[in-house]
Amino acid sequence: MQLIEDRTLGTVPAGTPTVVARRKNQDLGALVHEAQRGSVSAFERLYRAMAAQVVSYLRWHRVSDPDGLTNDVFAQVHRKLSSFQGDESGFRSWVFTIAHHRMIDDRRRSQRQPFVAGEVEVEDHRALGDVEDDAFAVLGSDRVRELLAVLSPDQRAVVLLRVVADLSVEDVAKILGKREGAIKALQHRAMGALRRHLSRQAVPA
Amino acid sequence: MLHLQLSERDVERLLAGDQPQGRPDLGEVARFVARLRALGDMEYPPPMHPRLLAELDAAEAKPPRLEDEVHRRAEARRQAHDARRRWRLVGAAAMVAMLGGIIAAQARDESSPSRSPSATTEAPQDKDAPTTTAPDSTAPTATASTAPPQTTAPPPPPTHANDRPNGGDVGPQVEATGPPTVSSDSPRNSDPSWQTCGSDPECWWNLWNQYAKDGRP
Repeated sequence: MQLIEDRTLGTVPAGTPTVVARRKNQDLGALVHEAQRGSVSAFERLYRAMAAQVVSYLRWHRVSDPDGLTNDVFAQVHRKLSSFQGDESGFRSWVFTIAHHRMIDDRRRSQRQPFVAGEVEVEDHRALGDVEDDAFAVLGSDRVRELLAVLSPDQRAVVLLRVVADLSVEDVAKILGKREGAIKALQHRAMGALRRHLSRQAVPA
Repeated sequence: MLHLQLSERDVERLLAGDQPQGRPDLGEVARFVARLRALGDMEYPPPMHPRLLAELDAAEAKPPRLEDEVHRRAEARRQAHDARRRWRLVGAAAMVAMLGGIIAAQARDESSPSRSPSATTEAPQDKDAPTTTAPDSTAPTATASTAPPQTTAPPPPPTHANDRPNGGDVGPQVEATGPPTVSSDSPRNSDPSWQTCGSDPECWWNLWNQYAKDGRP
């Protein structure tokens, strides 16, 4: 197995998701520059590269319309793209900042709306391929949703941005408007809360 | 069940979906994070909405460099405006400094009587020629530089006492091209034109031409 040196993780296998995502980022930088020069096809490739992560982030936050909100996020990205300055990780951070703000807006909007009995079932685009994968996705997503509910909103946001959006502590701190130390404390408490919850389930009283 | 402390490195490994070594209590947490990551990877990008597609179409129809050109021109205008403003400031500062210098020089001149304007117009004394005084304190010498354009070539100004139209009773000239200065006992003193010319340069010039032509007014 090929091992590589990672900045945060130390020596890790080359297939580690974080490392794969960072390699993807290198291509993202070139696409961003092309899109800034006015290439629509480059923007469409950017959309295809990042929309899945954005919609996943929004879906785990249980927004009312993840697909529509993702489109809104990318419409704003397209409008403001000429003013963006930074590298590929900066671009990812910027996109998720917009997505995070949209999520907060959606949450506020839904709080203002009158209560509707029964939970609104969010359409899930994951169940589209192989039957086994679909079953795993449905079962897995229920379990993951249950465990995410254990976390506080801040802890959930940090875990989703670190895992789903694959962002660094520094980027997450910028997106959430907190210090890096606060983000580290939040992710530490989130892991502790998950461990306690899972150990309680493993040993029933 | 005993829970060991989580180190920062343990947390980072958990967030990467890996179980830290020697920590079986974190196995479930690591599996949860790995599942969360895998579900994210299985996600499909949603189809683009017609509104977003319309925005992209509109952007494609527009020349891609137009916005850059507009931005570049605006930047050039802004730089030119800044440069003009800087030069205005420099000009105003120079003007203030110059005025200050003039005022200071005037104040110095007024405070020191030896440098009064009348002293500067006094002709130097010639030992050979009799002492002369100007009929008007400033007028004859002031006209030297402000004489009207010459229509007929005047005769060369007398440089020696004997060459002068009225003999040797004329004192030395302050300026070679200026009107003559006369002694107090000159008959020209009684000529009313000396009193009437005052500070009119044209009058003095005509008077000088007349002297050159007739020898007397």
